[in-house]
Amino acid sequence: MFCNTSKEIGGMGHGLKRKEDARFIQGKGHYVDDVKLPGMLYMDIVRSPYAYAKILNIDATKALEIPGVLAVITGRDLEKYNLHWMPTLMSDTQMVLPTDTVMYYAQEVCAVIATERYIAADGVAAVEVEYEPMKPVMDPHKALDPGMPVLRPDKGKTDNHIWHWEAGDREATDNLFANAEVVVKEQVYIPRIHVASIETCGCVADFDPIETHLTMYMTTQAPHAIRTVIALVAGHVGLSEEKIRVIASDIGGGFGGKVPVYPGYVIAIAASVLIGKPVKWIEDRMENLQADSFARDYDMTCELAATKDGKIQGLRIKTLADHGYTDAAANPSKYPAGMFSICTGSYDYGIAFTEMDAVYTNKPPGGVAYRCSFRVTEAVHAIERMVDRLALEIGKDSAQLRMENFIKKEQFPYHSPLGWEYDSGDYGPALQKAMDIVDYDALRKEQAEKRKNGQLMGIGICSFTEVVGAGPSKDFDILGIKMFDSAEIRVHPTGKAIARFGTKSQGQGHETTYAQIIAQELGIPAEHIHIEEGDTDTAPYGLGTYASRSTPTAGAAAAVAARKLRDKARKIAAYLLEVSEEDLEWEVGKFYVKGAPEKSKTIQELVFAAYTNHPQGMEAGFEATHYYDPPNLTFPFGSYICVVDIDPETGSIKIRRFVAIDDCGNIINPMIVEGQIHGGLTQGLAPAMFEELIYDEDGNMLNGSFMDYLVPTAVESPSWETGHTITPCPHHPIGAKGVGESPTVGAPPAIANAIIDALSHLGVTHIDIPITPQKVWNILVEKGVIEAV
Amino acid sequence: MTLSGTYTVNAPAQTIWDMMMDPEILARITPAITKLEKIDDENFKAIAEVKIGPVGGSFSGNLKMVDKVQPESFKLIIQQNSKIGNAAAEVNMNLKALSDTQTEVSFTGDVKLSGMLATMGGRVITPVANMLSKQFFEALEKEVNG
Repeated sequence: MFCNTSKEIGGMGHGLKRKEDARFIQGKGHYVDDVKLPGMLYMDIVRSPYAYAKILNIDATKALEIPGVLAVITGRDLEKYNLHWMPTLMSDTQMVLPTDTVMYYAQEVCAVIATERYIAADGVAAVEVEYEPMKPVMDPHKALDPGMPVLRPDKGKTDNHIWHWEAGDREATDNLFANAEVVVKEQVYIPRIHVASIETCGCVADFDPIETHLTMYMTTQAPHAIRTVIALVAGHVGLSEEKIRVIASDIGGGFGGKVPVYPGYVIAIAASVLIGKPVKWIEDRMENLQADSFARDYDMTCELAATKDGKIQGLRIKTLADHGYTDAAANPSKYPAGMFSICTGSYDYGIAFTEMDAVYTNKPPGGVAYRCSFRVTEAVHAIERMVDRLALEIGKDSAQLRMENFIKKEQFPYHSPLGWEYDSGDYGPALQKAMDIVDYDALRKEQAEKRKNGQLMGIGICSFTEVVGAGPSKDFDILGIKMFDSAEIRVHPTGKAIARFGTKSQGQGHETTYAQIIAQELGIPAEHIHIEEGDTDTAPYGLGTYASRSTPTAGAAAAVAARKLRDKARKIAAYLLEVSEEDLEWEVGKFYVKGAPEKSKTIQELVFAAYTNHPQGMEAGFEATHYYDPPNLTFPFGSYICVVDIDPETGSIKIRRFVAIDDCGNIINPMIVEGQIHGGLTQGLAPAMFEELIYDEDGNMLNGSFMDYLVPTAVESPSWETGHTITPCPHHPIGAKGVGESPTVGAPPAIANAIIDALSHLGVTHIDIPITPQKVWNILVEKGVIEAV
Repeated sequence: MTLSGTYTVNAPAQTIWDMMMDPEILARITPAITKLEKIDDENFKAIAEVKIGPVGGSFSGNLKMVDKVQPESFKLIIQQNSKIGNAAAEVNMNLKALSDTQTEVSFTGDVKLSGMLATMGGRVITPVANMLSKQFFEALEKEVNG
């Protein structure tokens, strides 16, 4: 691991304890619900009990009779200001509040504003809404059938089709498949799930009617983008961007779910503007789970073509995407299916084609990129399931098949058949390392023995390639804003610094890792570098934290800005030491004269001089800002191996071992990387075995609370074993790639492959996630292993 | 969700039939229903209190009694609405005379829940239905034995 600074400086490679944890572990974090302003009012929301219904009447009389209820805001009220609809980040449109029709179960119907939180809830219970229920469109496979209700006639639609997207060479792929020696095919469904962050969404909208200024305290991953969106949506009612300040303080988990603008935010702003007082809105757990943006929900028809001896030749995937009643994904504009075209994976072949159709249904909008860089989870699940499927078909060991087909180290930069330029990779050693740790050959022998005795054990591999760090401005924007990110470093005369960023940590540890990057570049101890994010009045503009983009973009900006300062320090050093700049050498923390190391100036001395004794003609002070536009995305990778034992009587699944070898390029803080991987693996375990949002045919959500939607905790999680290989990113200033999402992407196929492997000798070729004991038990009954009682 | 239950009561079928046709008695023996108000021979206004898992509330709606074949069978069509969701049920009630003094009472039906009731109650609906069915027969027995 790269690490050339002292522990005191704490640059890259040091496992520094997280600076932010001092307040978190003492319960001193400051979250949006901790914001309490004088005269603050509270908002609660009336939600639809129907998935699809006409609103005949909203009677707020009884609610308004409750002492303390000040207002009930409906879609008709917002319509007067043209605020009843808003754009989504995918340039679709979404209701803030409905005027005529509700489109999904738990949709916002109207909002109650009251002097206390409990009174607001009483007000919600007292509002009487008369509905005329209609038969909803729930099955995406039937959404395009003739005779189905057209859900978005407001968009000029004549059916429920949203968009078609494709990548690759259709003709060449079809030809290849028509003539291939081996073709394997599976229908692979990735269930609709929810980020379920422990902190729900919420805000305090504080409009000052005298100054016509809005301060928006909110739990958002992208404060600057939100400020611009508010200005665009509400500019016509007087909210001008210089008078909007978004403050995102501590965030209790985001995972992509806190990128979108939810109706509650806009209603709270409208309420604060109308009443002239601060309005707080905090979702409860069930509202969060039932109404906020979902993730995933891709149904993929996957095919892989190969030779008899296992040379992969081509991939074909056709996907149906259920977006709910509006496309509220947060993808870059040019990529309606996100980076799904990474689905060709870690393997070397030249031909692929993928196409996708998105449809409207009466479900909540989405889908957000839940801890994955825009649909990479779906893509990786597809290819990694299919590689195992191919191994089963031709009777080859799945590890060997992967090793034989990996893109080789010397082929990088590698041009994938669907258009990406993979920056760097060395896939074989990562898989070999994982195999060595678990003693793969011994496990296969054990499995063969156990099968003879009717015992079920499985070994699953996933060798994923991610695509993160959006992204280069030539291709990547959200609502037209390019996806650069920024850092501003200001070093004070005593050599201590503050640095501000356009990103926003939600638990990633930016206050520590950004400080380490600057410490690495300038030699100022990380403990003396204060990191600030999330206040749009002070931080430089950036698009926020998601898609593992903070290190690839803002982290790079920090390194480049620090190098600008180092250049300035060199000039000052040359002036103070009376030598030319070329005669100076940099060693972390100081410049010295070549051949005379005793003649040197520390960074602290040079910074002090920038304020007290700077060369004439040079600008005083020691500050730099950089907006970093990455030349390419980054492509982290890894190999995971999961070993499961299945109880043949009950179908219960025990993960015996899970080894995760990640390669995220150069590592800034190994302890934080490990923490990120533990969290991500657990969030990958979740859809693999537990989580799925379930609706009945009438559109009722059947598991809308944590009693029924099982989010894994330490109890359900195995003991994760982690390790790494290091293949630096060739184009990133510090060679880093981003890691937060790799484990969420890599874990589900490793687990699914292990469970399916345990049952493959029974003729099982695929099981959709979440793979529950009940699903396995049903299979064991169906295959005659056990009898149903 | 489907509902069903069978129970043998020590009373002639006609006695049980008469009790079930009396809205006051029917309200007493039917769990959750607190009040039945007769509108006409077929239609009743019903008030109910139900608790399913963590959600509970008061319901109001209609109860319709149709396809009456005295003293053998009838059908109940129930629509109940509340802030926490709606319940719609169709229940076929059968009285089979086993002897002059014994009757087998059975029912089969189908219940549909919506809204919060479905979201929060779906997981526990089967045990709740079994419990309500048990309560119904117990109350019927008590009513018969005075």
